[in-house]
Amino acid sequence: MAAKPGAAQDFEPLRQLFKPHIESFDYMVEAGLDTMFEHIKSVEVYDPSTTKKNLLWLTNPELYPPNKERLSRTISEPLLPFECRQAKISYSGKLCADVCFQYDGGAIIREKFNFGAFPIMLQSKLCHLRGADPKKLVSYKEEASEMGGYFILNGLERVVRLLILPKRNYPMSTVRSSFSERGEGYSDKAVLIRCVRADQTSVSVKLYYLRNGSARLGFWIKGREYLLPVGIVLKALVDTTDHEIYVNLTCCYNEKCEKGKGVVGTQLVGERAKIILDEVRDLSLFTRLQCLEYIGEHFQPIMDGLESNSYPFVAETVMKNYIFVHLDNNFDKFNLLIFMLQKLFSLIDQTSVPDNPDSLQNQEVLLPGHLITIYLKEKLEEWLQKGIKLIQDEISDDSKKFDFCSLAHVKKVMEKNPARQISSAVENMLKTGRLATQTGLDMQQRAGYTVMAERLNFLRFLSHFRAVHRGASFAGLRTTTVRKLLPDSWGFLCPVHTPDGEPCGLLNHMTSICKVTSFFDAQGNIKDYFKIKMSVLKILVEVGMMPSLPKLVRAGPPVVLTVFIDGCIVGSVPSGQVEKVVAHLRRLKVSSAAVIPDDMEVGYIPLSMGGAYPGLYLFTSPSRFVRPVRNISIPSDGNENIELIGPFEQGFMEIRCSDGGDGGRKSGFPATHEEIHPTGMLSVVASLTPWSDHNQSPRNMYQCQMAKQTMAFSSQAIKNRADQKLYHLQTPQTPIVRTSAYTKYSIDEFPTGTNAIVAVLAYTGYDMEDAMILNKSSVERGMFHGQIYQTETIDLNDQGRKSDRTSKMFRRSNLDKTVSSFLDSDGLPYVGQLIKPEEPYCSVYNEVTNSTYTCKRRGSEPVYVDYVSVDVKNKKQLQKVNIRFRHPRNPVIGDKFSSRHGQKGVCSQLWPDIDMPFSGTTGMRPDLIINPHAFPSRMTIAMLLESVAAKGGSLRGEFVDATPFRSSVKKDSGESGSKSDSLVDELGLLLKEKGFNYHGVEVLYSGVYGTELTCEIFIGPVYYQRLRHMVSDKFQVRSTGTIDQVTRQPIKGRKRGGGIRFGEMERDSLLAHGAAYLLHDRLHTCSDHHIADVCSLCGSLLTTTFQQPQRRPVREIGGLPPGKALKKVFCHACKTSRGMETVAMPYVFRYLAAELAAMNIKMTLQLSNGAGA
Amino acid sequence: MERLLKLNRLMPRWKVLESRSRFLMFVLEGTTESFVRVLLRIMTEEVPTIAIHEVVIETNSSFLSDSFLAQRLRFIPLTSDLANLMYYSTECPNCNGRGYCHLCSVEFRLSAKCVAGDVTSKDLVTSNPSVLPFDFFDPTGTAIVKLKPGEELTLKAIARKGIGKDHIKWSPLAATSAKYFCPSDIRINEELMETLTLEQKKQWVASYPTDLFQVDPQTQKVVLCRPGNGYHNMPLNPEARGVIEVFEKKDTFVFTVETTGALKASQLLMNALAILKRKLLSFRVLEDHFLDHDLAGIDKLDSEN
Repeated sequence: MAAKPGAAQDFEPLRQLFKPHIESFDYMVEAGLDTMFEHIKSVEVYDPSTTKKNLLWLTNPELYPPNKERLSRTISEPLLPFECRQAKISYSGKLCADVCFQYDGGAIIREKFNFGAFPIMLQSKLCHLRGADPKKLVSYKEEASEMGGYFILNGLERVVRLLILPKRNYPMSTVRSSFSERGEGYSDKAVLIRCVRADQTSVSVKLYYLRNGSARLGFWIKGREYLLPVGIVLKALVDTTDHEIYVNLTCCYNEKCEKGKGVVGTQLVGERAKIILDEVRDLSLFTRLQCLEYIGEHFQPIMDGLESNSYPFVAETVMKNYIFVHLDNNFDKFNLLIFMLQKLFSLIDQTSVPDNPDSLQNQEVLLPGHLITIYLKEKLEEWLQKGIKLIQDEISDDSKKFDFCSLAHVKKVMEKNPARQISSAVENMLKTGRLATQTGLDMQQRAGYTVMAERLNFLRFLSHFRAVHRGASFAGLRTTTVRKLLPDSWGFLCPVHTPDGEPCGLLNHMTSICKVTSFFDAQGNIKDYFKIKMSVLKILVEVGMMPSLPKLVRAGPPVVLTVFIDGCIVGSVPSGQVEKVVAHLRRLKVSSAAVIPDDMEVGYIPLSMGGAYPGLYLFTSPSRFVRPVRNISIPSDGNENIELIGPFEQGFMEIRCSDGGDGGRKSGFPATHEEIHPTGMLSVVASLTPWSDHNQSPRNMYQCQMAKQTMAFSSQAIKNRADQKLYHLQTPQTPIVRTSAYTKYSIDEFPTGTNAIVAVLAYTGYDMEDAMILNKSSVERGMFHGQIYQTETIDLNDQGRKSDRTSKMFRRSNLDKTVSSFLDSDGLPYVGQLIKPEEPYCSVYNEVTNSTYTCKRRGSEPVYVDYVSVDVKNKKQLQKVNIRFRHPRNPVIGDKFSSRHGQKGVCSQLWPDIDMPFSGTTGMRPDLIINPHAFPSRMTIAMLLESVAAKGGSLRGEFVDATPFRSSVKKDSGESGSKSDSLVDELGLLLKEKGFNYHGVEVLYSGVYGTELTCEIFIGPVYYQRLRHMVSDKFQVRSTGTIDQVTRQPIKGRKRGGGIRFGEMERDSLLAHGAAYLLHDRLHTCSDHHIADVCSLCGSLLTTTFQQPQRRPVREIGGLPPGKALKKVFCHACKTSRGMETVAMPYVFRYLAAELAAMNIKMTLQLSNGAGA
Repeated sequence: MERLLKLNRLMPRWKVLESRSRFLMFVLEGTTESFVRVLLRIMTEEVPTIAIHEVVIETNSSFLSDSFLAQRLRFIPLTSDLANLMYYSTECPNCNGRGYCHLCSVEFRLSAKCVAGDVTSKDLVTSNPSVLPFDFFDPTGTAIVKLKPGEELTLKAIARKGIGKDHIKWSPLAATSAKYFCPSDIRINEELMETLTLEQKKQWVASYPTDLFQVDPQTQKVVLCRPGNGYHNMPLNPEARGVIEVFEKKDTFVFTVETTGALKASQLLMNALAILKRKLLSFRVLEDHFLDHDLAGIDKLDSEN
């Protein structure tokens, strides 16, 4: 099972996991930018004086691989990612594009503009690491398995979060109470569609239902929603008659079938159609032109740059830019609008149910390449707009000499708005995850688009790329409906791997087999969507689809089903034939020779009694989830029948488990597909839990959490990294008991724990309540040893003002001899040296002021200098230095450990080896003791199995396969069938063969008395993880220390040496105990105890002052201490010191008095001699 | 108490079952668990050996950090026959406890520079030829680190005498165990057993979890299946009282000793016994003390005898 040492590792399965990120960026580089540039509208500047027009547009974007800036232009040296990480710079390449100028339709002049350094994704086509084999990657100072998919920005690694978006180009019926707040007469029902252009920008359109039977089309322009009567839009789209619209709308209603299966239309549809048409007539709009003028008139003020155009032109532009932008053809738009109306009416008449927006069926995912493309588009458009505004300003400003016809002048003006800002805007977006946009880009959220790719351990790192977030706007929702685990996400999102707590159910993880469709086909070529559409159309017509043509009135369900391709109505198929068509399409999908892409989604929603609105929806678009299943209707002996299916179609498919059974299906609905392996429903992290099918399910969830906070072997290229904080396990091991996923994804590259010999018994009492006893000698031998690497970057350029930048350098002070034991003459520490808190680790010399400044270690623990790296780019003087410290973190009492089954515990003792119980036969002493009470309520049976299996495996020198759901896999191989059915029997026999107890128990002797323990003890190796929560990072104690300046109370915060608040509830408990002295001690003596002088005459706390005794010229008597000057306190108000008394009080009381005084309130104390003092 | 008295009359006797250089297995008869424990404890914790205690790293460009390297070095077993003649570094009279003289320390030097193969324990150059890595004459030593081209490792390691109680690196024991030689014996009271019905017998058998008993299918008698293995100290069912009798035999032990290589197994045992003897001797010193200063007390003791 384990790869032989030296054999080339296959990282391909691992790379597959990162594909969605990389492919989307690759597409952007290859074709996405070109497409996007084509979609950027050209702008026009008009000079009234010369009556010349200048048309500006952008073309020919070029993105270059990251290169170092060099003095000689001929040789460019590649900039490698590790250099960026260490130098804390961004991994970015130059973005150039041509700006075209055209005067009055004359010759086109191209001018190249530099749009700055554009962030490049690692392992994308422009990355230097692309295509490098593991050996080469290591020579580039990366991990051998470096998968990329992230950006390096200022040395930090950031990933674009995959976000859930509504499925593109699919009209979705929705019920939302907020719809009725749109205005008078609006109902809560609407059909909405998110239309996506070829350049991935999207515009959502909503079709609202009015209670009077009409409908309104709503779309957003510049942060405002505009609502148009649907009739006007229908008429404005195509030249049509009222009758045609009426017939088209009512085609879904057939008197013959009143209430049958799949009937969506009712009589009311006709009535509503009349209302819609009447509305238009009431506005006295009859022809298309009238409708266009009506729309144009209303929209001209909002549309920029169309002030001088005619109304119909404006209306056309509005419809082109905002209504069904995924379609180019007005007839298609008309058909889609008719369909949406029918779907809306069916929703109202309850002949179909609303689509669930929380279901994965109606969702897709936002990919990094697409996000960057749309953001870049907006920034470029803004830049163009700003550019022409600048030109316009110059033209109108008569005082300046500006030649509009001179390109040099125009270019100079445009450069006032630097083009380089474009790339830095994108970089900023990736750095902060915040979209700085006016329009909102049709997105639900503004922030949280990117996250840091933490390399705490490999599993955490990997999970960042597989995580799918529902969206920040849902996190604040009080309802739990969005968080629910729906059956629709089966096989696409892991049911186990979601955090518990705040983001539960919102942050999901893709299953290990789940893929995201991209613009690339299986061969790696960019898909030609037009060609695909045409070939699909051809096939559909062959099998009996009636194509939709202008002026051709279709029938509706249940007679025929409408066929969509990517949101475009292409025809209809008779409902009797549709199953055959679907089967045919699926067959073509799988066959490699066919033109149909293998990831096309055949969303066939069958006729039903008031179910989802029927239709045949074909999707070839990118950024859909897909997963492989076996199509068993196609005979195959190998992998030729593996079909990629999406969540939209899955709900209407019959997919059986691969255990060979039928899953209790009725004979009427035979299974057409079969799962490839039951573990396909698990994410990578979840599928690493051995025998997770034997565990109680919440425990598997906990394990997914804890696997991600394990202190593990985080990086092999640790020498070449400069992470702020990096946890590292010194002596990791590979687990004896492992799942098939462990090998598949080469987790051995980054192991996460240790095979510890675990005895389950109550021993010494230190293992109560999930505490665990570690064997002191095992720890001394190196078990769970680890360290934290922490890097400090000192950049002299960052510090201070520009003027003294050059004057600073790293140098040790010649005057201060004390630092020479810490620092070398270059001002930097010796490698391998121990530095204690408050000791210097770096010295900076300022030439101008001739002074040195030393950086001192903060924190509370001594650290070792692990590594010092310097920036040699600047030849003159060192300016940038990375100093990496190593904090030793060997196990101590209070550190947290866990097995792979959600069984976490805290080390309560490091018990001497000699006092640990030992086995009589082998003499073995456990590394770790846990309490038997950890099992009954938690039911982590797999942990017991692991212990037995690992014992057997280690005796035989073999790894044990612990892939879950083994019993649900078809037993045709005969391998598993021959043995006993029970897993326990199988594992027990292994032990028995080697002379051990069948159940994994052993006779242990007390480590103290040497007598046998009264029962046999369950003992065996279990893979244990060390979690990153360590006491050394957490302990917080103080007796005295820093206090707040205002209140003189102890401050809070561990970092600043503060204490833990003794709060109200703690106070209550002390009161309840009657522990008055303790209470006084905590809240007064140890807090802001203060002895104040109070004037008993006026009762004031604030008017008292010290009176400095007048210094009399007393001759000092040699040798004697100076006589203590008597402090005299007196009251300013009473002008006497007669009534002075001292009172003990909390200092805040005095502060209160002062605050009150500021409000002109006097506080008077009445002193009495009550205590008898 | 009775058992102890019986034991007291006997002297422990021992018989070697198997003896190799690093392995020793012997039977100890006529003693108690406490004595066995004492022996085990002394062997693991108190027999002094020599191990690397201080590492001075001059150059280290290998991929292992200094502390990791030191961790690997300190667990290389060093032949420690000399340990008894050496001083603990803190008590060394020759160097006043500084711990760098030849009486209390052994210096090793290692300098390697991108060698073919690994840097192993064989590369450690000792200052005292009788203190060597235990596998010095083996064809392959213990790997310390692998070096890449251009990497270099120069260090000085100072080995000192110590005991396992302070750090496990000084423990000469790799594995040890002591168990009852002949575990308790179980006898079935056949007469009483026969009074049970077959159903009852089956129930009775099932109440013992580890297949201790079985009902013979032919004779329908309850028989012991695993004589001599793993049924010690089993809990007796209250109903079973009288049906079986358990005879405990707890005065004979099998002892297994396996060393790391620092000492020979037999040597380790001898050293351990010597330490035990020395510990007991301290009571003699106490006796002398009494004789000198508290004659009256001793007189009393004498008269009692």
